Amino acid sequence: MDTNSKASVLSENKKFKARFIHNHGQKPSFIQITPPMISSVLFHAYPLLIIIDNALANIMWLSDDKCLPFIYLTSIWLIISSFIPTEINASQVSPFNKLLSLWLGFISGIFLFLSFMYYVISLVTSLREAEPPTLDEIVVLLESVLGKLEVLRDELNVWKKLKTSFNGVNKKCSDKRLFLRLFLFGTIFQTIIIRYISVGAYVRFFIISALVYHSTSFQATLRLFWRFTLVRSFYHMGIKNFKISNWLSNCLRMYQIIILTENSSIIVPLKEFLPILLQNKKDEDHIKILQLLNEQRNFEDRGLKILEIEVHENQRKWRRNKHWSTLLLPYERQNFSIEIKNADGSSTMRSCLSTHDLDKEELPNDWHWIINDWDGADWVYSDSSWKETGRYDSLESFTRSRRWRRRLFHL
Amino acid sequence: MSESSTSRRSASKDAVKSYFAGKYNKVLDSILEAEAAISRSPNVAEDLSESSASGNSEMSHSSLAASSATSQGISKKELLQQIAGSLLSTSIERLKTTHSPDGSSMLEYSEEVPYDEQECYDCDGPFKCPAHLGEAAAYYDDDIDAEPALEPISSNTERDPFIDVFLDKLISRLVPEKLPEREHFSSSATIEHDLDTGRVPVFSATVLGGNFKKLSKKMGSIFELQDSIVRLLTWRNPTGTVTSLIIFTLICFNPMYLVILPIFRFIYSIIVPGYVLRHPLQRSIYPLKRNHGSSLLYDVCYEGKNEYTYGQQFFSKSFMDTLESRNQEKDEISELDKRPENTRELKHGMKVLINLRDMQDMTSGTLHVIDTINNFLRKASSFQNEVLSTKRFFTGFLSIAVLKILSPFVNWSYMFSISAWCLLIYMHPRAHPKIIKFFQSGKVEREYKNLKRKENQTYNMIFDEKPEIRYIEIFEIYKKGLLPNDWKFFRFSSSIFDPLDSYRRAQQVPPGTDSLQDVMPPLGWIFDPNFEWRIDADVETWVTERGLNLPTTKEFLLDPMFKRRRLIHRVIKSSKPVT
Repeated sequence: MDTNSKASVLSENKKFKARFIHNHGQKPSFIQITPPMISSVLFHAYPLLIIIDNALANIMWLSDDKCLPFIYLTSIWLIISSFIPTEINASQVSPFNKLLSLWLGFISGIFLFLSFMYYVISLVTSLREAEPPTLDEIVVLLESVLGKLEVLRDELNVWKKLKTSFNGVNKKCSDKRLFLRLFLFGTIFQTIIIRYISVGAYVRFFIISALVYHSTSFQATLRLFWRFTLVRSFYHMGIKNFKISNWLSNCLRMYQIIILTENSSIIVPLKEFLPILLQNKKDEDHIKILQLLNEQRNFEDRGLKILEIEVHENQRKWRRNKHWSTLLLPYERQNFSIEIKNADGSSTMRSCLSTHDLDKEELPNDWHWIINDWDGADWVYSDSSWKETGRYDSLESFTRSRRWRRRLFHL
Repeated sequence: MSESSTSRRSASKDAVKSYFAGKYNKVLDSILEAEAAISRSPNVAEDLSESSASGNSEMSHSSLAASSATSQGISKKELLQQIAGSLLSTSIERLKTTHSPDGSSMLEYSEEVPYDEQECYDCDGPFKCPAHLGEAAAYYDDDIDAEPALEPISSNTERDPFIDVFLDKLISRLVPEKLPEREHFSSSATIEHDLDTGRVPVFSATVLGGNFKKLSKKMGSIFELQDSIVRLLTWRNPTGTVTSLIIFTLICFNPMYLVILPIFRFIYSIIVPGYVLRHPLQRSIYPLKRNHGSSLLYDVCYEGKNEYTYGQQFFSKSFMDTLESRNQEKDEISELDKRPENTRELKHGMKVLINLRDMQDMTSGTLHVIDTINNFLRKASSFQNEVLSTKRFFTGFLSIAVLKILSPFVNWSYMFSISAWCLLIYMHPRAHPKIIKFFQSGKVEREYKNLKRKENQTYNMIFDEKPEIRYIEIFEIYKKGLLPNDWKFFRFSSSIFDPLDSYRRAQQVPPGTDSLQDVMPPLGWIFDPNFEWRIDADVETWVTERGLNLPTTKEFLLDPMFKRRRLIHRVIKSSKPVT
């Protein structure tokens, strides 16, 4: 056993570990390449940059001391409550409480103002006493500010997040529709809230949530909540509920599929196609087709309508190490779906019966399968919002789908 | 007896020897001998010299020093000392082996131990167990002090279970079989069933020591908590202080926060950081050293010795530490066996030592507090100082009444929160002297007023309870002379000295005195100065009360050799209580 471990250590020693790419870090000095004008501007902006950086750090709750931002938050809360009444019935509040809240708000306001001024003054004095910053220091600070701003932008870009999260439902989700839905949905929701909560409390709630929104904890909270299917379903309820077709039926049947996809059928001359049609058929089918043709008059001049149906089989992985499941999220495409082209050129995914069930269905008038079996492709893997990741299963892929094709003809 | 035990011993010796072959060759001999000796003579102190002699003869091969120490004529005290010393050295030897598990130390160990064990074997009889117990504790103390602690727990049992088992057995023999039990939540029957042995919980040095060892490692967080509380109360972490005041205010206005905040803390300082660690938020944020500028709150309120460091361990650090250590564990487990002597071990050992010192301080602190409380209670209740105790009673009663009447009109939320803020501002090191100065400005005037009030107060109370009165008796005993009416004074005594008296039958002088001046009142009583010693004329009463059937004269009770009369005196209970 000892020798074994030694051997493994040896083999480990042979292997070499690659390093990460670092975007920031040691860089060549900027002194030579920066024009003096820009250097001077940067130098003068340095205190401002520090203040901005610190403000951003406070917004993102990055300092080690979480107590100080909390105290500021409390002060802001007191200020807001001092001049916006939070109780619905203002008459119920005792004058003592009113006075107290006013006084507290006043004190907090002064405290916040003084803190800010003190910070600025102490910053300026300490900068005056310290050595002037190097250009690299300033640039690093600038990068830090930019990095923080970028993070803020990414976190604030709810719109983009919404769109990617809606990807699972439909491939194309126009901004207009999304906005309309959110607007309608949000308005109803807020009207209900305002009924039970005073405007003051509502405003206070929003300001405080905006102030803690960029903290790691809050972001983590959002992500943790996003794990619950209930939350996601609630989020997508807007889409589900405003679509009448979704209320009626869940899965498209064979005749519906044919009606919906008939536009994409092609017409070929029957004369040319017949040999191919008959080529792969067995005896019984052979006779059947010939009988069908026999019923038609002067079929030689007629065209043959051919329709290719492409059914997507979809699966989702619910947990990282779990197996693929046929159960999908309630609002997204289901286990079997079909892509239907709309009149405006966009396409929607509609769930349909499984290939097995479609086989059992009676074909509508004069429609016949050309091939007896569905022709399946390989699985294509994609991430949680159905963005393709490749042909191999990886830690990234949470969904996969494959296409089943089959052709029909119509006489 | 000696022969049979020898044969039995050799049999068991062989069996065990085969099991521990090569490991405990030398230790085994002496331990087995000790075991045999104990089993031969349990709890008999007189057996000691004999058993030691027999043991001595048999273990001539084990160690010369030991045999000389156990030779005949050892006093009990000497023996106790030896046992203590031997157990200590056993523990030290054991330590050595835990330090260096390789063969070289084993040799050393096996050479030393026979001496110890052989001494141990001498310890026999109930009077030694306290020494044993004390030593056992000390031994684990040492263990913890010196041990670099990062060894896996199981190693203890793997390495030398024999010593542990032996020690436990030894103790279980010395300690009475059944110790009085403490109260348990579940019934005693279930507890007994819970144990594998089916026995009542016994004292075990191994378990105690193990627990102590584990405790000393884990007390760290408790002391850290204590530290952080002190830091908060002394404004060394001003932002933390203000935050905790805000939180306290919240709790005052809505006690539900008492439940909410711990859950909040659990979620956001344990669960969420864990989540973030596993699934990083992918924020590209530069760690920057910001040492320019400072916050107003911190500069105004900060009071302490340490340097300017934002946010001391109040919220984040201790929890981040636990998180860190949790993650480090994974990495370190693999590295640990590669480097047995790294600096971390030393650091850890130091930590354990610090914890032990703190625990010691804590225990002495607890004792001090208990003493102070007891003192106060005794003083308050004993009426040694009548005025003070009466005042205390009165103020207590008055405050009960006033508080009860006032309670419905108090807004508790405001009261508690405002008093907490005031208290902590009062406790601020820089604000404290100023506040005191402010309140002391009118001190002279107030002192004069106080003096006047005190003068008045002396006439507020009157202490005129009737003292307790009782009577004491003493018998004046005369001895018969040669002539019929010749009586000589014999003694003042509290015993009647009748023919059936034990002293008389033993032909001894009864306890007492020759002069009435030497007679003292009982403790806590004084003689009534307005009362002389009086002869009890009513002889019949006290004679019949005592059921004596002897002739009496006017004052005396007579018997053939002695006569006695009863003197009584009035005594008053002194106000000073008996201590």
